Amino acid sequence: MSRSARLRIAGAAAVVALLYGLPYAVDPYQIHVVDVTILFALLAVGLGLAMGIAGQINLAQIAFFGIGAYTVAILTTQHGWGFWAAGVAAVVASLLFGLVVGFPALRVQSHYLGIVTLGLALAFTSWVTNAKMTFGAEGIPGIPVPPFLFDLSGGYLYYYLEIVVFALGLGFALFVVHTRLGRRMKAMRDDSIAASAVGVNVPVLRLLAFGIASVYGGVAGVLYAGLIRYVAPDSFTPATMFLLLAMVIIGGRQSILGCVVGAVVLSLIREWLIDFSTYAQLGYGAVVVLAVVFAPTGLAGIPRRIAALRRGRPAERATLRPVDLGGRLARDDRRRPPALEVRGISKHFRGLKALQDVTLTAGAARIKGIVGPNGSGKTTLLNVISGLYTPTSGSFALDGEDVTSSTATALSQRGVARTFQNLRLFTELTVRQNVLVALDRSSMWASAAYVVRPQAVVRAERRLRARADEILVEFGIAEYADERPAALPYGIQRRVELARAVAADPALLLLDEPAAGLNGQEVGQLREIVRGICDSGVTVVLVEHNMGLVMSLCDEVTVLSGGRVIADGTPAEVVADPEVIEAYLGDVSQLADLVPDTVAIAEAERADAVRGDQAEELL
Amino acid sequence: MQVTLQTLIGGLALGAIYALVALGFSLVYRTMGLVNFAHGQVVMVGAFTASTFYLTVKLPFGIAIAVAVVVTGLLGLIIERVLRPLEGRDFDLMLIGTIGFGVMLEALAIIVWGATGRAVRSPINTAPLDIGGLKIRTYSVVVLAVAAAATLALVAFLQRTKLGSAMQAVAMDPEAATAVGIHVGRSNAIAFAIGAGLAALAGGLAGPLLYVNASLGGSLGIKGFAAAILGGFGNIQGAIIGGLAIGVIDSFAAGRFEGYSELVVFVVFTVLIMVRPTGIFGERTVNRA
Repeated sequence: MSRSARLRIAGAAAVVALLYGLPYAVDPYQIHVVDVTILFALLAVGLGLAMGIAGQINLAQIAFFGIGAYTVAILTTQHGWGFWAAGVAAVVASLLFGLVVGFPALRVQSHYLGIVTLGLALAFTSWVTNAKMTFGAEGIPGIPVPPFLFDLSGGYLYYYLEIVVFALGLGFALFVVHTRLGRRMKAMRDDSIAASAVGVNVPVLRLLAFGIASVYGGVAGVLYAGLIRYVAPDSFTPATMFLLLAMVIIGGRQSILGCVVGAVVLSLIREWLIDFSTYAQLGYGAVVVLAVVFAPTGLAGIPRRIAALRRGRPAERATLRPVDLGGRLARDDRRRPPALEVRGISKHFRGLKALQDVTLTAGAARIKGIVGPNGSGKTTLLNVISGLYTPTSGSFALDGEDVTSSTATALSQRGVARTFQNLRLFTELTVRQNVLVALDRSSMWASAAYVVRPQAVVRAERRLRARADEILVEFGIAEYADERPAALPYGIQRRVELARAVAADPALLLLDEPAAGLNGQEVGQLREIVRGICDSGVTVVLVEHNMGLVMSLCDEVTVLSGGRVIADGTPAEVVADPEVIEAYLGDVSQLADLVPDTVAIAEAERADAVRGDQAEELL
Repeated sequence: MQVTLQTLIGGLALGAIYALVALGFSLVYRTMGLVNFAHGQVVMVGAFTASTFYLTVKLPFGIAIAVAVVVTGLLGLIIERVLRPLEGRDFDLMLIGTIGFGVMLEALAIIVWGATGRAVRSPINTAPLDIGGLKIRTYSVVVLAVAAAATLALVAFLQRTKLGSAMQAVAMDPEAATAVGIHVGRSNAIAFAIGAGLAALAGGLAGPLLYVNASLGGSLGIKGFAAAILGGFGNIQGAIIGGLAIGVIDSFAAGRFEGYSELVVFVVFTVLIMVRPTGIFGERTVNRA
């Protein structure tokens, strides 16, 4: 056993011993404080999953908590239900309310979502303060002691029940965060457009984030009802919601353990300042402001920031390795590459006609180039084909099957992958995780395995990781596997995005200006990569300004100008077309530059390669 | 019919307050893309400040409000300055930062003015106007007139003055604005200060209509925000229409559903947002993605 593993086990044993012994060291009032703190920690874990991991602003967590507690209170005191039966119903009620609150997230995000969730939380408060069923502001007393193996009427033994539930909740949250579901959530948080383009079902995932958060809220509510045995509207106000929010922000919303630390610290401070609650409120408001400005990753982010300071930027020691796509070419289980047919596509943005009646085809396993001046509609066309835009009219088909109305996610699952002109990498994920998101082709239904067969999730995770590492090696970026993309030079980020697109195992690959910002040597490597991908049986559509690359790589080229197709044919035909010369070049004298002089290109790239090697040796 | 009209007019006066709150939200949003979640609390601080200068210092009502406008304007400058490092980087963090400011302001208000709150007497003691059997509070008419004047002044400022045009330019394209020599930070600060000033105007005017206490900010803020979104966020005319609409919905809901009125307002609002996320007149956003 390694030293770190032994240390970890010793640490875990110490934590367990400490938690087991805690009740022996505190008085009855203190154990009550501890019990309430654990409930806040459970709420914070749920909120951290929705806000920090999935990026869904959720100001209704306190209402999920309230629904759980009130459902138990109403069912036990007014309908004679047993405590645990009521508890199960309460969690279900919270979940349903969570899905209702999450529903607007399908349409709106960010501040809109903040206000809608806050509004629904206030609607809940308004209901409990007014309804007869909830006895208004007086609240509901007399909730029975939960029957259990041991007596739960005192705070001491209740502590053990809570700590076990909390450990399970925390363990599940960490499991989610470190496996594919959490990775997809983080990808959605960092860039929901790129996430849907690699096959993440964003709407379902957003609902799921609210669903999970509401289950944590509901469970905490049930435990609260059993602990206090009295519920009143005062416990579920926006003020408590903001306290919860402060816990998550100060602890570090992107780290579940950080949320727990934040909850414990703020609960204890609140208790300590209970006689000065207004000053405490002033204090935690101020700390939230300071935290977002100076420590946006909260307490949990401090170790990483220190480590980053000591290690220095990887950019200073980065070089791009050549690629070796041998592993991919050998595979024979690939899908048959499809032919892409675009028929009469138009896309209008109010008055602006970005695309007008564009028709083109890309043959199976061929490289189709799309060129044209800036603003000619190239990227709009890619956005339509990848499902991000719905065309105003017209249709497109893969192998004869009309897929015009498919979403980006559905198209990704059908084998359409793409890169973006302005790089859309998941900024808070490592290079390996970026590739893993695309590599994971499981459906959202497979998430049920988290509850039903967790071991299957672990096995699938191991398989995905091994495959991701293979891809990173093939693309020559294995040494950056654990870096965040923003820390890497631009050329490597481009390569990462390409690796991510290929990881989705595409049949049709759409590349939007993949050579932009690359030096001569890198363009040469890109040419090899794209050629290799195509040879392995992938249809490629290449939008590019680098004419040397287009002319030497593409089998056919379509020229767009002002949203219309003005020429279509082999590179040689297109270059000779007078309309192309007119629209795209404007000046015939530059035409000579377009005809690929392969010898010159090869020489230039060799020179670049030599320089690159020398530079590497000098380092 | 009589009752309906009476409710409608009551709703319009309240709606004018919401519209002023919404205007402050929208001005900051269109200029810098930030939703100021502390705006409601700034309204509340404005209401308290105005009431103090009116009731305790015994200044005339209008001057008390003017003092409050200056005080909250400074407050706006402070909030903007503290959060400026996040400008254009992370909207969600800025949003949470403004929530932090809101929590602080509410605590400060309790420390300074106490937790109980106060009623503000109306500055106008004439009998209600009687138009065809409808009784209209003179003060309601004053509120509507002041709100209309403030809106016109704001529009004139944005369209006719150099500073206003500069702010519009920042709203459209901060980089291009910088390139032609506009100080983006200063423009944002001015937007924040004017927004906060409008908040004090709304708060000061709300004093005689509503009970002033520390939690006033929460309810006025969220309804003003709902109004801004309903009209189309960042849209000046939308803020006015949205504010009046929320006021009327609020007033009818209060009559029909009594205690449940807040619930009804928020549920109706949520449904409207689901149906049409960009509001009635469409969003005027700063697209800085």
